Amino acid sequence: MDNLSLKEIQEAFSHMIYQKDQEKKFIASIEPGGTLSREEAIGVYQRAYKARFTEALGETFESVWWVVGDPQFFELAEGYIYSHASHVYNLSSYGAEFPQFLEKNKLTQTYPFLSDLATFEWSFKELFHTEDTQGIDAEGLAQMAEDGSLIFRFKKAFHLFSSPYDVFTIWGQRKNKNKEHAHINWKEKTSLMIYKYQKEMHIKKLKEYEYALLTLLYLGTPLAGALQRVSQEFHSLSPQNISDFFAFLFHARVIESIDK
Amino acid sequence: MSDCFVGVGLRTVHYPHISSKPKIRIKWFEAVSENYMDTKGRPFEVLTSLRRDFPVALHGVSMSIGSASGVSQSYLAKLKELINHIDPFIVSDHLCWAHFGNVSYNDLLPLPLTDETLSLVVNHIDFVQSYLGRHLLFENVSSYLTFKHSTYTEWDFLKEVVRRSGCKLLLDINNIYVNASNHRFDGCEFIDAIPNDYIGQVHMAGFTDMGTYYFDTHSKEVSDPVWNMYHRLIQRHPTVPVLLEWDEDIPSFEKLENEALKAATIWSSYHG
Repeated sequence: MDNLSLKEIQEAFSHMIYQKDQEKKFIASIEPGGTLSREEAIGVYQRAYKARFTEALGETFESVWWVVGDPQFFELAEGYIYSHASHVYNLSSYGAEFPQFLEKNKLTQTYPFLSDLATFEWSFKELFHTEDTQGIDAEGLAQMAEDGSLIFRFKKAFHLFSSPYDVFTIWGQRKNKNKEHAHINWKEKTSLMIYKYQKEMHIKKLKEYEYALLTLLYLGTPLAGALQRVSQEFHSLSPQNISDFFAFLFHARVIESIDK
Repeated sequence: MSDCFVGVGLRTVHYPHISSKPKIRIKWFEAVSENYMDTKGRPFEVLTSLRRDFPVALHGVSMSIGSASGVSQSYLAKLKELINHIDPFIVSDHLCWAHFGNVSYNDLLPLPLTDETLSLVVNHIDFVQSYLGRHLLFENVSSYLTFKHSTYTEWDFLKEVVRRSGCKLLLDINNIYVNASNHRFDGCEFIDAIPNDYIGQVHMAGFTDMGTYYFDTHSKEVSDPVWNMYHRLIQRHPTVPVLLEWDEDIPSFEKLENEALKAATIWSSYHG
């Protein structure tokens, strides 16, 4: 029998790990360790592959796991792992498409919030690894009052999130082993800003007008235009509401720079 | 050398303890490169802070030096950036493959020990060392299968890699023991075959007996047979840095240190 080349071995090994094919020539080319059969020796790598990627998904999507429980999470993870090969060298970067994968899963009939919850968890992880920068402090507030054409640039460690479901409350319960998600009223719209302040992660629940205003500003709408549009939509909004919110934004130092 | 240069692997569960700046008895830390290459968040801040007080080695798991599809240039660029920031005293990875094409298996997969593999690995090491501008260390990995058409023993293969590439070995004594048991060879023959000046660092760790094979889990204390092999090496090579790895069921930092410092006690019995 001709010996397999290194490339042929790695190609066949890849197929075996990914449980795509039975590579008979590859199986015949190996000597198993211990008292394992050849198939069992390959199985060590197959199981390790699944376990490793399941663990990676479990670490990032901890609250999805908490909601669906072990058997269903493992089933979800298996479905994802064997349909989404890893292209990342860092395991914690695996799972970028898990929220979209969940969207198509039948479990969303029971848990309509599942994909949004996963999106929130992915965003949180991404922000956790983002560098925190100083941001503009209260002095920016004074500058802002003078010119309505200002455009805000937000720092990298800032993210807006919105969902028709209260995924934030569900996420907050993820380490609570004694409580089930059934007790949570998740049918409530949630808008959040996730950000870093002094290198620590923070999450603030936003009122509807705050989220609308921040979204406009984040997209580069000049200040006066953003305020005008939000005031038209939210009639009860007072100047004090706006002033308080901007005071908070500058206190939280989420604005990196202000362009004229 | 007046003491054993013992370190431990830096793990996230120990960040709060380490960040509180306690009295630390070990001499250095080893950080998994990939855990710090894509982050500017807390892990990066902790490592940066730790580096101010301790020597740090960067130990990779995804370079895939034995991949027939080559080493990723973008990976190397990220690694170089991290090296420039941390200024590690050692940079290491594994003598294995971890990706094929654009698919990553994030595992330390075994290579056939043939002339073809040797040539490819040496070329890759030469390229990587030139790109990074420094010598690297490569670790022998645990395996659960070997290839029938291998023409080298594992130790002869490692020696050839060192001789031809100028890299050094990160000798994992637990992996030698696991492989010796799984593939039925004499681990002491392996240890004895490697010259001192080929060995740049030693790893110690615990394995799990799965009944039908030994599995490199890094989930428990170093076993007695592995300590016995450490005795054999350290009595002839007193200057080699030694590191304890623990990756599953990770104990308190104090227990981790105590386990690592057993290596120093053994060192002292020969050189103290």
